[in-house]
Amino acid sequence: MNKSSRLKEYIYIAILCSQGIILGLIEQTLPPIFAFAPGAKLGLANLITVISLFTLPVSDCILLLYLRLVLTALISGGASLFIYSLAGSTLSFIAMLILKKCYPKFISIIGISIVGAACHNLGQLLVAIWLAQAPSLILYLPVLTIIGIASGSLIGICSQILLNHVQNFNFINTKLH
Amino acid sequence: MKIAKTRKHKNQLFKLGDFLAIFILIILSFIPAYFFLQKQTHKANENFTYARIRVNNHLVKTIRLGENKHFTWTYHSHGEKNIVEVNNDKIRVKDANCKDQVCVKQGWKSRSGQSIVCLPHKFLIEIKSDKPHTENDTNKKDFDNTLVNP
Repeated sequence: MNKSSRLKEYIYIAILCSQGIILGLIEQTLPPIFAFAPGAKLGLANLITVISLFTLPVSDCILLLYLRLVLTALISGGASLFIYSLAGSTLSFIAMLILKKCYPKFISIIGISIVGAACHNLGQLLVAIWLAQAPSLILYLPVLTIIGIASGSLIGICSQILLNHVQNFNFINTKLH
Repeated sequence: MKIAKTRKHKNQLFKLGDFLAIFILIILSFIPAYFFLQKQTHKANENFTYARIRVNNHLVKTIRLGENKHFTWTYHSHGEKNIVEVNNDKIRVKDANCKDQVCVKQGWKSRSGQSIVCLPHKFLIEIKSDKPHTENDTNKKDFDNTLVNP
């Protein structure tokens, strides 16, 4: 890989990262959509993770993910928020990475995004149980999973549409999938 | 040709694995909740129901109920005789040599707060239950008693 294409890739990562941060900040300013279920978010920033998963090698995906998490935490200023999103994002990234092995024969981007959203909620809930020492919070998991499926399919459809356009960039390694 | 193209596009959008993933996720999300609820109800059932047998206001015997046992226990002193039968969580006086036989006629009792009385023998069975959470309440009661009867 020559220098110029590596530079393009870094710029691409930086653009994705900034977009992820902006999406995360916009999401925090939005009124809670699922008012009956605190903690359930739309997960707009997951869009960036899904797109990076399909256009970048795994090491760059991990770099992008944690860069975005740390910067979002620094800008919005929430230590507890950072722990929650760290656990959720790590779990969802691992789940999506495993499921990507079945792509595109068996599962589509939407399915991967749904599993990612549900695992994100699961990771957050596990941290909440650990921090609050309240195992009864596990009763809340079905609600969070159903909301995760709804928001995950939305994000999945969005990223499907976006990927069709992103793939037209010539510097993206199309051999990835 | 056009129809075939759109159908192909639809197939691309949603795959079999997606629905399978949704289904598995919903099932998996309910499993921990199910186990948790089962544990909770199991705990709630363990509220130590027991029968206290008092004669002349003296505690003679305490029998734990709901232990899946079936046995009889006989009380006799000075020619007074009461045969108590326990069947899992129920208790009754099976036979007695008192004259009115009210205790025998009262039959099976199982709920906490119920009691069986045999007045001629001054024989009393009362069913009580101890919930593990009401420990503080009993402590409070003891405290009150000490105030009343120092």
